[in-house]
Amino acid sequence: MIVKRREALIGRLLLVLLMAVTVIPFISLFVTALHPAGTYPSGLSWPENPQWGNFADAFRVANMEKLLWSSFLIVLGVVPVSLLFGTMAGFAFGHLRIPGHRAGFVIFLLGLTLPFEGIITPLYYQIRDLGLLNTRWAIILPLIGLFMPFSVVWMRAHFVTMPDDLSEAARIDGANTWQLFRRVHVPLAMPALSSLAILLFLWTWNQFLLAIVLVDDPAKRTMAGALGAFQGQWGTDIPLLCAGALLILVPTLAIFLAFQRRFVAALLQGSIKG
Amino acid sequence: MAHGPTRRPRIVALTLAALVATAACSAPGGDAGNDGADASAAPVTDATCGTAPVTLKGYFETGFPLPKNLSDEFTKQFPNVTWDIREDQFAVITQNAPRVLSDDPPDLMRLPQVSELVKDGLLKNLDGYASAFGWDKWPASQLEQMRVSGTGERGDGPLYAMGLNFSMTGIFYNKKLAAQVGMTQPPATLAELDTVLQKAKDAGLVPINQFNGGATGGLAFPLQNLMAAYGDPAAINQWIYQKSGATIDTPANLRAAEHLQKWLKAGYFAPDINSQDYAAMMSRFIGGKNLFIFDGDWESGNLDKQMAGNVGFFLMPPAQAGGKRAAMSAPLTYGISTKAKNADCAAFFLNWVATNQQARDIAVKVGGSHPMGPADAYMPAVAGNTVTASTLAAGATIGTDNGAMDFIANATGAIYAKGWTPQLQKMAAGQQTPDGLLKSVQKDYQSQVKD
Repeated sequence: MIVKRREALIGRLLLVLLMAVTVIPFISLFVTALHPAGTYPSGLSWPENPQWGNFADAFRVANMEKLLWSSFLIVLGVVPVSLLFGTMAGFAFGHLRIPGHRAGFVIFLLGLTLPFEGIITPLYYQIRDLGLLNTRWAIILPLIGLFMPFSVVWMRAHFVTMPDDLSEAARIDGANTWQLFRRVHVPLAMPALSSLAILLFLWTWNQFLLAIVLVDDPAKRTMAGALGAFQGQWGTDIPLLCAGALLILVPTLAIFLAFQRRFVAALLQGSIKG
Repeated sequence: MAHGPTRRPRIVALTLAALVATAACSAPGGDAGNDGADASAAPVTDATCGTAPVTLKGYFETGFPLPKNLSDEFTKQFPNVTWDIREDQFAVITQNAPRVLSDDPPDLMRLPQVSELVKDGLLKNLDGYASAFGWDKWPASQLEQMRVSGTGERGDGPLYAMGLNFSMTGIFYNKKLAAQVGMTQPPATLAELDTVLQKAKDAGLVPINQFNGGATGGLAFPLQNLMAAYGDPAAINQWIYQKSGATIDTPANLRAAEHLQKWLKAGYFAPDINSQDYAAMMSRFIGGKNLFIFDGDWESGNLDKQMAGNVGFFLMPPAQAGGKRAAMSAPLTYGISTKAKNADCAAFFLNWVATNQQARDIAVKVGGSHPMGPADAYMPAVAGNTVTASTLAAGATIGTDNGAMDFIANATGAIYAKGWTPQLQKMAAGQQTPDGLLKSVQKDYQSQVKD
C-alpha cells in the first residue's frame, strides 16, 4: 500500500501531538520535583538551584525501601498463584469444557462486573474474623480471589481459540490430560500468560484500597501508599510528592520496558488470529 | 467435546451462587459495644509510665514531624518508654479511626472530630486524668472542643481527647506590599481593613488570594472571621457543637455574609479564586503576588523561612474599635483508645507535652503553634520580627478575649463538602446571595444533624 506524502505527514504530526500530551505531565512532575522541598512551585519553570537530593529524601522519608520489599512480597504472593489458577480454570472452561462450564463461566463473568469497593466492608469483617488483619495475607488472599474472574476469562479466551486437533494429536500420542495441559497448551499460551502476568503485576503493585482498609501498618502496604508521607492535614510537600511519584513509577516502568516486546506481541497476536 | 446432562449446569450454578453468597455475607463478627467508656471519671492519681519497659503504640499523621519529635524527646527523658509508631495521611486516619480504635487499639492516636467516636464508645474518658493533672484549671476554651456530652453535643461534658498544641488562624500579609499601600500597622477595625483593601485595589495589587477551588471552600475562613467580627463567637460555637436550636442563619451572620459579598463584588479577591487550590494560593502569596491571605499558623514556620522578614500576621479586627477578637483555633487532637493497654502512660505523655519545658519548646519550634497548658506557663523565646512570634501572641490575645472558635466546616461530617464549599463557590461566581447561602447551609445542617 502506498501512503501519500500528506497522509504520512499528518500521521506523524498526530503522533507527535499525542506524545506531547502524554509526556508533558511527566516533564511537569520532573521539573516540580527539583524545586526545594516544602515550596509551592507554580507552573513549569526550571528551578534556579535544582535539588537532585529530593529523590533521595523522598525515598528516605516515605520509607520506600521497606515498601518496595513489601510490595514485592505481595506481588510474589498474588501473581504466581493467580496465574496458575487462572490458567488451569481457563483451560477447563475453554478447552476441556467440563460439565457445567457455561454456567460456571457466567458466574465468573458476573464476578468481573463486581467492583472492589462494593465488597470491601464484608471483606473487612471476614479478614478480621480470620485473624489476618494487619498482615500481608489480608491483601494477598482477597486479591487472588478478586483477580480470578479476569484471569479465568482472559485465559479462557485464549484456550477457546486452540484447535481441538492439537489435543487429539497429543492424546493419540498417549498424553493424559495433565500432560496435554503442561506440555502442549501452556507453552502455546505463553503470550497470553505473560501479558496476564504483567497486568496482574501492575494491578497488585498499584493496589491502594485493599491495602489502606485491611492493613493499618503502612510498612506492610503496597508502594502506592508511599505518597501519603508527603501529605499533611493542611499543606502538601509538592516537590517531594512529585519526586516520590516518579520513584514509585520506576519499577512498573522497568517491568514494562523489559517485557514490552512480549506485551505488544501478545496484543497483536489476538488481532492476527481473529 | 462431551457435555454433561442438561441438569448438571444448573446445579453447579446454584452451588457456585450459594458459595459466592456465603462469602459475601459471612457474619460481621460481634460488635465491640460501649464497654466502660464512661467508667473512669474518678481522679487517676498514679498515672505514670512507671520504671518497667513500656512500648507505647502511636498512630500519627504524616507530613507533620511534631509528634515524632515529641516522642523522641520523651524517650530521652524516660528511657523505659519506647514507641511503636505508624503514620498515615490525615484523610486516611479520618476514615480509619473507628476500626483502628476498635480492632487494633493504639495507646495514642491523632483524631478527627471526636463526637462520633465518643458515641461509639471508642475513646477513653480523660476526666480522671484531667482532675489529677490539673488540666481542668487551664483556660476552658482550650479543652472545650474535645468535651462531649451524653447527647453527643460538643462543648461540655467529659473530656475525650487532648491537644499537643492549638492552632491559630487569621490574616497573613506581605509587609513590602503593605508599606506600598500605606498600611504601617495592622488595621484596628473592620472599616480600616476595608480601606486597606480598597487602597490595594487602587494601587493595582491583588488584595486577597484565597483557595476556593475544587473540593475546597476557603472563603469559609474570611466568612467565619466576619461572623465573629459582627456577632458573638460563642453563638457560632453553639452551632458547630450541634446544640439544639442553634442556627447559622442569624442577622449578625447575614451581615457578615453580605460583607463578604461586598468584598467579592468590589474585586478584593483574585478573580480566579474558584480555580485556586491551597498550593496555588501559597505559591502566589510567597511569590509576592498579593497582599493578604486568610490562613493558619501551621504555615508560620514555612513563611518565616521563605519570606523571612517580609511577612506579618494579625487577627481579624472587630467591627467596633476596642472590641474583642475571635479566631478559629483548634487543638491538635490526640486521644486514647478505650482498649489501650498503656492508657496511664499515654495520659502522662499528654500532660508532659503541655507542661515540660523542652516539650513546649518543641511544640513551638517544630509545630509552630501555641502549646496547651496553663495561661502563665513557660513560653519559649521566639525572635521578635518573625510571623511565628505574631501568631503566638495572637494565641494569648484569643485566650484573654475567650474568642476561640472551632471551624464552621467541622459542624457535621458533611457540612463542608456538601454545604459550605458549593455555596461559597456559587457566591464567588455571583450565583448565590448571602441570605440564600446561610439558608441553604442551615437546611443541609438540619438534615445532617437529624440523622
